[in-house]
Amino acid sequence: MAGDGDGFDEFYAAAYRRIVGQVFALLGDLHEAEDVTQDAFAKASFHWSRICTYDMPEAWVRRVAFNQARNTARRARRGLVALARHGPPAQVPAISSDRVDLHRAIRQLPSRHREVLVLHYVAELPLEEVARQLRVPLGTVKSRLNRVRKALAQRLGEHREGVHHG
Amino acid sequence: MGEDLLKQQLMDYASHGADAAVQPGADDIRRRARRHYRRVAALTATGVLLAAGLGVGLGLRGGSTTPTVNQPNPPATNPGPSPTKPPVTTPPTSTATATQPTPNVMLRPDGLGVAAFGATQQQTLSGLRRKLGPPDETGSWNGATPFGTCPGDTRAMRWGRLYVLFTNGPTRYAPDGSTWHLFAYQVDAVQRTKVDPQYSGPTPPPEPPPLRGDSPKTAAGIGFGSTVAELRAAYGGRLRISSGLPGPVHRFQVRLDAGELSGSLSGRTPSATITGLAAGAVCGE
Repeated sequence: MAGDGDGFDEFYAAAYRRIVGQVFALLGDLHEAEDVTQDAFAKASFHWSRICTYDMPEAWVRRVAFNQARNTARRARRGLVALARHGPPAQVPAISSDRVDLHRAIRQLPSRHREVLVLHYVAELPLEEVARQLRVPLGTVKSRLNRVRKALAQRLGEHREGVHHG
Repeated sequence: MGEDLLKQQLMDYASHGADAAVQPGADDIRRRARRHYRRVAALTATGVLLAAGLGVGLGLRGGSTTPTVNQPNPPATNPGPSPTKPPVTTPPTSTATATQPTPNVMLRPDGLGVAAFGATQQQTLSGLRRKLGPPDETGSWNGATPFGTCPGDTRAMRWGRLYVLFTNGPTRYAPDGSTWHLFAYQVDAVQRTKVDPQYSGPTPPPEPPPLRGDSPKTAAGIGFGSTVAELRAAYGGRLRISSGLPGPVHRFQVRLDAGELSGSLSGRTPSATITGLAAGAVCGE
């Protein structure tokens, strides 16, 4: 278990915002993202004496958070658990129409495509590292990314066109 | 959509979430961990008590497809937990730091003697099968496992109380994570492989697993059921015992040159015994 002066506090303070942003981009739900991210850091605090020796403790936390987010059984329950733990959702700052479009477009993507998108563009991992983390060939990552770009371009374009002409 | 524009929009979207997110204090995160592991401990204890109270068999009746369960030994013929305590035969530093494979299965901080952490699944199983025969049961998971959320897909094989864990994900023993490799082992009192295929949390096992023959031991003769007195005699100043939640109430760690052994205890008194023992890469719960 992490304690004062062992570096966990600094790590947590520095990495939380990055991880919660990435999980938010993956899930599209802020409260779910907070819950998953805090769980992952809680586990890291428990195993900190070992995790702090890793080259990239943040990658471990992201991995745990992404695994947890991927678990559909948990996700189905998480809404209720999060509600019980945190109470009713807090006010989320208003989000611009561009972000709403992006939010909708991302939510329509298959989860494996969203992971590639977030790991590459938000976590800024090179494609080789994305492939390693997802344990798929590099070619698969490239093709998924290609499909994601096309899908997003199409969906965002369609929506804006609809707004302009509707 | 241009690459840079897409990236900018995604970063902006993620930042929006991060800005709006609540960040609890580090102490709150530790409290969350304590609550989590307290629940795990309570569920595990409940499972063991239920099994003892019901006096049911030894839980090898299978039934689920994932994980798969093999039943080479009928429960009725299993001898149950060994009543014997392993003798302390070897000074702790004589072999504990060795890194060469050993001819016998041994609980070492760097592996199982016949195979070190990082060895391929094939190499490991070849050594274990030669010494222990086929495993009692196997399980496989993607994501959450009864051992926690491990790096990558996870397979577990059990011989008596010994669980041997493999993954195809990146670990410090195989950073590229491209091949299935040995990354941890765990000697346990409870059967963790028989869980719901949709496993998503610490389901308590229905009953303790059976022992088949002797449980493997460390080079110093320490294994499941060894006493605290024996632990102290074997590892002296390298042993650290701690108590308190989260997790098992009483825990021990042995730091050796080749790595670390850790586990749970029934208490802190000299006669208290080891109730679990593990080494290797950690899995988050």
